[in-house]
Amino acid sequence: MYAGYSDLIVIRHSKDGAARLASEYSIKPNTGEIVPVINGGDGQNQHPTQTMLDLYTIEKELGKLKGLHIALVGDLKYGRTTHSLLFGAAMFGMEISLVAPQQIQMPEKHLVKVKELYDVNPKFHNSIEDIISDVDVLYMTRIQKERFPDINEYRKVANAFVLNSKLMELAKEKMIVMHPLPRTNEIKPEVDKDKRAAYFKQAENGVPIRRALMYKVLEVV
Amino acid sequence: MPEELKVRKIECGVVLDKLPPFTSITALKILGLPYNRPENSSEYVIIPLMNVESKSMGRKDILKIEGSRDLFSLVEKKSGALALISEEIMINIIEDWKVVQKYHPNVPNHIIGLVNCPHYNCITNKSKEGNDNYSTKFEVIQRMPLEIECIYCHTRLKRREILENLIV
Repeated sequence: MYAGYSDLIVIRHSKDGAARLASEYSIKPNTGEIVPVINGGDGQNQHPTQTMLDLYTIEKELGKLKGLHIALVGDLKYGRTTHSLLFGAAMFGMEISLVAPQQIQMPEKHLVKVKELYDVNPKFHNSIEDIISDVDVLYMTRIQKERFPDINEYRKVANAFVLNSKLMELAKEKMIVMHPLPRTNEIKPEVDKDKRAAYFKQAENGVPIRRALMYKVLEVV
Repeated sequence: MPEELKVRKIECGVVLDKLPPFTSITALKILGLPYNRPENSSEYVIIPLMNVESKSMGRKDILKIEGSRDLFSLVEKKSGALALISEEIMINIIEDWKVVQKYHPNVPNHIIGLVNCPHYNCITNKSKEGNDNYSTKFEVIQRMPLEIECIYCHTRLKRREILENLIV
């Protein structure tokens, strides 16, 4: 019914596929006019507008996308931002590494699809330390304790996915650290002062990107 | 029909031949015919033959349903769902003791409301708080071997998972 009240629907939902389903019903009852639906994040599935601002941030900070090496770190199983970014990064010719404990690695369905669409085979790593010196973009996400059936399993792996100043010493001079926010303890506050920490700029970039998307969808520009 | 089966011919009805072994009950469920509830009376005679020898398949099931001509349209309507069991199934239409038509079922490109999505967080699975129950929709990604994908959460299912999640 919201289609009858509005010109554009932005939906953020806890279930996978909610935006797609909403789009099937977003028709004005009187005129039959289709009301566009923007996916603002659906369950564990996708977060496409986050990926738009992520790619914009990389391009803005590093001047290009193609050929850059991006590492997606953290909860890649349930984290929807990394699912969308996997496809976005592949689409623009980035080299991709996936850094996560085995229990929360990227779902097979996304790996199969990204291979089909872009012939991309990401590399797998078990810790930030393994990869940090080689990447242009370190994309951090939160690992939630509750994803692990056994708290001891969590404790065993959690430290390998926390970024601190010491690890940043191993990173390239010209690289950026990103995070979809909010963060908890996976990036130590000491890293915030590092000029390579781009996550606050990244968050701010969400404003013009989402504004541009809404303008485009509403065809007002 | 191999002679050793010793099951009589039917006058009018449908014979589903070349069912994979132990899938005849699933086929009955798809057709919505009573198979385990005496209270659901039916005029149909249902003869499931399970795990019989087959030259081409090694083992197979056969399902004979004797009744009226209504069965022809019922089976045709459900043939898309039957194809999810196997597209090798041979559907024989029987009139006056003779096979008057035979065809294989085809998996439709869009599979709507036939298979549950096993992903617990898919929008098509009822939420704890809500009463909405939306029809599932899958697209065929690959036909040989069969693979389908939920259009909402992108979960992919192969044949065995499809059968485990059939809505019957």
